[in-house]
Amino acid sequence: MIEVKHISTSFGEKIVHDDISLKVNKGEIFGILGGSGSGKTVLLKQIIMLNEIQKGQISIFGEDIKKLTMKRRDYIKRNWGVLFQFGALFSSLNVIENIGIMLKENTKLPKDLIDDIAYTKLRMVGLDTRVGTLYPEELSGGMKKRVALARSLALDPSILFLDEPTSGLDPSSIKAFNSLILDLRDMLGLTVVMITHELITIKEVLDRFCIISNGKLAITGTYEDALKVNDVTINKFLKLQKDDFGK
Amino acid sequence: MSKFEISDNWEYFCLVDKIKFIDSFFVKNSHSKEIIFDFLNLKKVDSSGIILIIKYLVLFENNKINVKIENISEKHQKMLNLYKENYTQKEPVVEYKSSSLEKIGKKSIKTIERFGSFLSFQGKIFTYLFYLLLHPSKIRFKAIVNQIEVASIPILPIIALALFLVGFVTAYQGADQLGKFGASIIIVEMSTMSMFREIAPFLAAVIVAGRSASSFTAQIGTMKITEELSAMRTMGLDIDIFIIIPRIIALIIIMPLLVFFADMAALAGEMVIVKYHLGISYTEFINRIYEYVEIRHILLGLAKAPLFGILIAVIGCYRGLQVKSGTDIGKYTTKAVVDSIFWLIIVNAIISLLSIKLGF
Repeated sequence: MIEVKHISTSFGEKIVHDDISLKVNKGEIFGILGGSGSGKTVLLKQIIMLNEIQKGQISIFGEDIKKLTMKRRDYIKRNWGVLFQFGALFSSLNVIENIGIMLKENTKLPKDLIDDIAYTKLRMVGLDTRVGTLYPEELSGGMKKRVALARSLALDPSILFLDEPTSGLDPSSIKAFNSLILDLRDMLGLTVVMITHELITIKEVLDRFCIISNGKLAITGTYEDALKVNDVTINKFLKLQKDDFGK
Repeated sequence: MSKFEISDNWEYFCLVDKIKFIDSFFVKNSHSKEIIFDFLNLKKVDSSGIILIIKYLVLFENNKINVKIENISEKHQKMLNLYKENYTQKEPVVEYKSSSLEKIGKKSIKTIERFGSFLSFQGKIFTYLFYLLLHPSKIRFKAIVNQIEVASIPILPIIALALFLVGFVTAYQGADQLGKFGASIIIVEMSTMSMFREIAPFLAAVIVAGRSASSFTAQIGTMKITEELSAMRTMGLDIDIFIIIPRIIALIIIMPLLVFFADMAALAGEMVIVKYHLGISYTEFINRIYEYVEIRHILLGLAKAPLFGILIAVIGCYRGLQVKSGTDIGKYTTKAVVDSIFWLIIVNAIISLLSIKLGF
């Protein structure tokens, strides 16, 4: 589905990525992990064509994203959904219009059907119908994330990119969010790439993950694989998370 | 008993035809007792498609028509269940219509409230200014100097060019008209006086409003959103003393200087055009000003400058504090510029009237 080959990135003196390669398979939930400032978001942004690729190659659906025609680029963009860290909802539109915008722009469906679709998705992400007419500034952080998830699911994408989808949510919401992601994957065959810090998400949701540390991949594999490895950074990372969670 | 075949692809980009199809089926069968949805030939369906199907399922059910689903694959059944469970229709919104009288009343009360809060903000600022006069050690000199630099140096070229051209143009036009009476020499004192009293102070203030009022609103608004202001408050750092007063004092100090600079730029414009159009030399021009233009004209212009400075800074800061979310910044920045120019015009007009009546 996604293939990252020999990506190197540096900002001035600071080397963010040093020859990173990874592969995300179809139908899998893949995690990008790492301490803060380790370049997870930069890598994600390079994959979703927001940041320039300095060195290396990234392909999605088997196509090199640097060499896409306009048409293919549009096609790929319509086939993925992106959930930004703080939701990135359109502030001039209300919740329902935010969710329905892709359908409104890309189809000629009647408004009442688009509204029905938007309301159904709103309920799927666990929000009340009354939220529909509110504007983003009236929502809390967690609600914004759910609305943003609903929006990114509007066109039934085949890949979903999530940037810290559960940070700042309460534990029960995290659980609900995790099972929602798993359900969606099973139901719709989604491929999910997410940046996360929650141990519970790492343990229960991710099929595989990679840890970026000092610009290199410390490991790529499952949670069990990672626990077996005797590496200071990985152990530190997972153990620290465990302790946090243990509280 | 009629059968509806759900076949081929039901995806968002090809749904428009399906809607016609399923709608006509619904109209035709709205009185039958039982209908069948046959999923046998369904190839691909996405959430939009399945929600469309559910929409009509629900419509049939609401009309007390029994719907049977046949030949559905396990995957599609799962999807159907998931979306049916969550299917929600838009609730009809009951719109409350208010009478125009009510609207006028509400709007007036809001306007009065807003004006009141602006006045109380001004009151607070002046108490702080007075307080700082009594406790000069609390004045943030470094912040003031910093603001002075930021608010004045970059706009000097703009003021110079704008006022030079305005002086140039007014003198040229005026000389042309006065020439009809053979009195074109009067243009020297005429345009200089109007420049010193009205045009230069006002234009300088407008340029400062465009630059400083907007930047004050944007800066303070951003600080509010990033919760810098809240952080300062919790640390016991008074935002009025740290953020607002320095900006106001900075504008009070720089406005007269900028007005004087504007006066000189306008004078230069006049001198140039008068020399080349009327053949009056620079020395002659200056001598004539010395003879006919009293010092009070330039003093009046300089005297109202600090007032303009206060007005611009207070409006800019006040609008900045009104910002509540990131999207407000643009709105309030626009408001700050529009408001400050509007009030500049009003205040300038009042001062102009008063000064003539009082003989300044």
